[in-house]
Amino acid sequence: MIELKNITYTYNPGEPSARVALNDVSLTLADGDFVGLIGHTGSGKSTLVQIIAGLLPPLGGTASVDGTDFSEYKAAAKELRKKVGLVFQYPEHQLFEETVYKDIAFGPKNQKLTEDEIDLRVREAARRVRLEDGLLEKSPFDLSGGQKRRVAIAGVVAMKPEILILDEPTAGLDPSGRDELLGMLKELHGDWCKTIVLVSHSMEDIARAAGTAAVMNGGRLVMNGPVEEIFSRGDELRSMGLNTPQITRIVDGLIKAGLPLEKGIFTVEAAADSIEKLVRSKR
Amino acid sequence: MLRDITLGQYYNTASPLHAMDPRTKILGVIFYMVILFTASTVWEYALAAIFTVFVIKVSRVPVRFITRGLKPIVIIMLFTLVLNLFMTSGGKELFHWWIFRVTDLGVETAVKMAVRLVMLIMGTSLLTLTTSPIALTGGIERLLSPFRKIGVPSHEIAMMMSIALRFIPILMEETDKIIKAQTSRGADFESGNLIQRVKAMVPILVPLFVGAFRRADELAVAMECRCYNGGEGRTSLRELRFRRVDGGALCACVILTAAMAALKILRMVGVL
Ligand SMILES: Nc1ncnc2c1ncn2[C@@H]1O[C@H](COP(=O)(O)OP(=O)(O)OP(=O)(O)O)[C@@H](O)[C@H]1O
Ligand SMILES: [Mg+2]
Repeated sequence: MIELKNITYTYNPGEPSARVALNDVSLTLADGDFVGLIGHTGSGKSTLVQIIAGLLPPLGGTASVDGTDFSEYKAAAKELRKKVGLVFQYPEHQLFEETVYKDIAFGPKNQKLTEDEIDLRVREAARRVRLEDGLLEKSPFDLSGGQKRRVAIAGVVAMKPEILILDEPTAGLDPSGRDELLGMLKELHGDWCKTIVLVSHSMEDIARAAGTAAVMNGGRLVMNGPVEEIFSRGDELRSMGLNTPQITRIVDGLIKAGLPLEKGIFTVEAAADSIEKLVRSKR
Repeated sequence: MLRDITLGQYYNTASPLHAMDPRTKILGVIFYMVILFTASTVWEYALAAIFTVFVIKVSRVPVRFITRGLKPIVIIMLFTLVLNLFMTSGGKELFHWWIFRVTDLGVETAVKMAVRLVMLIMGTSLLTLTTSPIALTGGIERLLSPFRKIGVPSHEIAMMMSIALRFIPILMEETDKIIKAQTSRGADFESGNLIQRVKAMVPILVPLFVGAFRRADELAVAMECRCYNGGEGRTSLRELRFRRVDGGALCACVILTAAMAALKILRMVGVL
């Protein structure tokens, strides 16, 4: 479990280009959470996840890991790095090894695992991100964009982090790639990684995968709670340049038009069920 | 460490120096260098120093931004200081130990060299601090354009420089991101012996180069898509304007340089 309290961060402090990226953000990640982190462009999501991952010292605030309070971020950072695996935005830009296998093995190797364990981890991670076995001996630079993305994600997954954070992993993927990735994350959750944080612009992604949602706006954490609750506050979300999932808007429109559908629907499947129920009851 | 690089770093504020024509500032820096390298007596140094302080004041750039450019060359400065201190022959001996002799002339030369270097760096970083990269390369292009006739590709040089300058912050950001990403994968850049440390750079350098080539490729395509075909017949969105203040500043530089030269000549013929 990770607890961050009153975190603040400013880029280029004291310069004319100074930019407050985080303003008094407190967030708790409990074991078993699947958190969707949402926010408009520039709201501070990437900054926040870097702080959670122990990569960026905040200017103010405290962190505690598994109940141990750290007065200094530097000490906490070591723990955080051990526990948290962060997949950056466009992670495919960090591949460097000669083969996919070696690239995925980079993390586990740094963890000083045994050769056998590394091999196990690499194959398991590749399987989990649905990379075909034949690709392992290829050069990562010869793969397609989507395949590279998977290799990069596998590189972090192979380290078996307790907390896996992905910064907009679905950006630039086609709808089926997106679905596959979300399915893959759901499978990883609980079984391979205790906690997952998914940063996304897409409400549909969050609705599909996450259990709770945290909403950032202008460097502040403005909402935090179960997905259903967050999506029931459509007007507030819209005032922040965000929105509810498309299907929720459609259902809301149908309700307004007089159909007695249930409220709080945010996946296509739930909407279909609800409409089917209505149709059956009418018969 | 990456933050110490002042080259190409523009400090955006409103000041008379920022508003000046980049050509004035480039020529001004050239004159400034001439002044620094002709200065030899204390009075000439004092004059140059007053000029430096005045220009820094006018620029409204905080002093710490200007001194930041000095950090990377501290070693070079110490080196010249020590070299001049011990290697200068002649003058009155102040101090003697083993093979080390320090003379008053040595002290004087060493201090002067150090002051000259400091002023040189501060004055020239002021150019990039007060001139946006676009304006700077625009100025260079116009200053070089008379040499087109003898085959100097002035536009291409300026374009290359502006792209290079534009890429510095992008690549620094990219480096920062890659370092963080590999750190998150447990990479360790700080411990181990030299060979291990060099090896640890591979996970940073490979993605960095791959990224740089990718960006260069994309940029080339983007430029071609917009029908870029070199400098022939190209006009500028922002025309450079040489105003009265530019004329004044340039005159001041010329006068100062001429005064320095005159002082030097007078000294050489023995009048002073
Ligand atoms: N390296 C940097 N230097 C200066 N300012 C930065 C830097 N990185 C981010 N910022 C600024 O900090 C703020 C928060 O940025 P951040 O990257 O955390 O946003 P984000 O929520 O991840 O946005 P996006 O959805 O576009 O990825 C933005 O206003 C941004 O301009
Ligand atoms: Mg981001």
